[in-house]
Amino acid sequence: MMRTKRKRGGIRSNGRPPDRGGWPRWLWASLAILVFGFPFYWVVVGSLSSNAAITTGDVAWFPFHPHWINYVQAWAYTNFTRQVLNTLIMSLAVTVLQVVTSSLAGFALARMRFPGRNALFLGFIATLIIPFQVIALPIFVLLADLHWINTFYALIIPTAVNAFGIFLYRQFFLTIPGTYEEAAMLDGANPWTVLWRVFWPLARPATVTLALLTFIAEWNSFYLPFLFTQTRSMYTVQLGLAAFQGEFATVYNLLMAATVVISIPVFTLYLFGQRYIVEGIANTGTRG
Amino acid sequence: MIRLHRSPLWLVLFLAPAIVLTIAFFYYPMGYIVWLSVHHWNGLSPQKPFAGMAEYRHLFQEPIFGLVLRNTLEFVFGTTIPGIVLGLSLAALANTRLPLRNLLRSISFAPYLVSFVSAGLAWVWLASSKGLFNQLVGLAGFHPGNLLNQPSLALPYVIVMYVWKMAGYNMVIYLAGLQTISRELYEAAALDGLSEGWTRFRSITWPLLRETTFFVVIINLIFSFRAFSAIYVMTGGGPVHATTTLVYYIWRLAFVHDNWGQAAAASTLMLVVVLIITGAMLRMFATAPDQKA
Repeated sequence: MMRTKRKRGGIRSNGRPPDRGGWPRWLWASLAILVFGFPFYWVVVGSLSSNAAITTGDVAWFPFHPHWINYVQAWAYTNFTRQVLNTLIMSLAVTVLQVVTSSLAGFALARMRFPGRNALFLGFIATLIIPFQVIALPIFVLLADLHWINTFYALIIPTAVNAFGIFLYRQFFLTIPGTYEEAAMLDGANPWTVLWRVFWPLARPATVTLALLTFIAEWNSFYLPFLFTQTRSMYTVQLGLAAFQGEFATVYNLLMAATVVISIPVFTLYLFGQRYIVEGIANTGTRG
Repeated sequence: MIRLHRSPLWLVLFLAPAIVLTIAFFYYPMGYIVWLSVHHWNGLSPQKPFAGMAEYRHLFQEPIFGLVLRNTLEFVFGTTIPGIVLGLSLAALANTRLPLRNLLRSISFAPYLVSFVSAGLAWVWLASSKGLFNQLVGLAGFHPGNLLNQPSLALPYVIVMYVWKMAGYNMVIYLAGLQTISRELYEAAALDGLSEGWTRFRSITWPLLRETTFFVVIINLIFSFRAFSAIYVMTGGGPVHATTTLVYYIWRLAFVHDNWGQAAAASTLMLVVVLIITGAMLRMFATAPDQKA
């Protein structure tokens, strides 16, 4: 999938009309950049402003006297270290599990022949249509019966499989020529060896894409940990931020500082994996 | 292709984790929510007596339920349609040779990356009585106060925030779609005397983006239907239920009012609505004339 995509990258410039555009295009683009980007700038400015500036609304357009202490205070007030740890455990575990379950199922669906294969694939894909919020109540009951509420099991197991990942791997494995596993099978390798030794290394782009998108989604997730945790010691960063707002409703400089800190990991991942993230999203759209 | 008779055990091993988890955390809960919707339950009692359609009746008799449905529709369509139009416009801008295009792409995609809680909080500050919006309109002599405290402004404000957050995501998908359209097609159209701009967009670009649009519409509808965290941090469903949508209402029924039977009925209703919309979209996009260009 990524390979065809890369080939398509060559055509890319063809789709683009050669003109550079007149002033209306410049104007629209500048306006869009301002509208979409300004809130980010303003959050950073707010996070460095003094209490007085926030309460009077007299925030300077540029933080000439940055109050870095806001970051120290926000971190201390929220019990942030614990929440970061919780979120890291949850996000990493879900990411690893999704990669494992998706690549196994995607491989079987793409490269193994068995009756009901297409129906099974549709059965997975159908899960993408129904929002989690619709089925959250029964999942809560199920987790409560298992005594998993307020444990890491509740944060991890319900999202350990993701039809998007299955779809991603299946599409990727379908593009690999059939001679690969035949050669390996003739050498006496079993399907596991074929997957692990031959297909898995080839699927690295799919793995990176899924891992990045899953980690970001988990880091940002709110509703699931919101329902399935009860004590502060199990809070994730997003829950901590929402709770922080509950207590410090209008102390916007501290709130904005916490917001900045929480968004840093996501932007860092985006900086390094931009191509994978953007292509992962683009691919689902043009090939779904 | 690996044949089944050579490796039935491997097949089971490969598929079992995904199948078991999908049944346990998707198909079983889906059946259970429908079952629960025809039973009375307070979330604690060991008994769940059969209720028939009573919970549905009660749901529709709730004085605020009509408002909740209206809010949900307003929110879903108010976010989906502008979000898609804006996403496509951004993609069209980013698909030119404009020197600003890379900056435009990164900046407009950035809101999608942050969490709804973070984005929501930022917009709470912007809306506050001493916040940026109030200062800007204050220059023109208006002093509306905290925008989120006003029943008539709160929902539109949350909608604007949502559009800001999702437009860049739509842009990325549309940009990929635009880049699959070859330049030869546009050149041929130019030879046929087709002018640039709107005519060209309507007769070539838009028809060729049909599949992309189908996907974008579905994903946006699902995203909007399930909105919770932004509403939770921005308004808490208020003021006076003005921003209570179906998902928010379901959460309150179950976890604040312990009325699980009714919450299940509302969930089932939402399930049916989502299925109907998806089915309708599938029909619409499967039967419309293809390859106009």
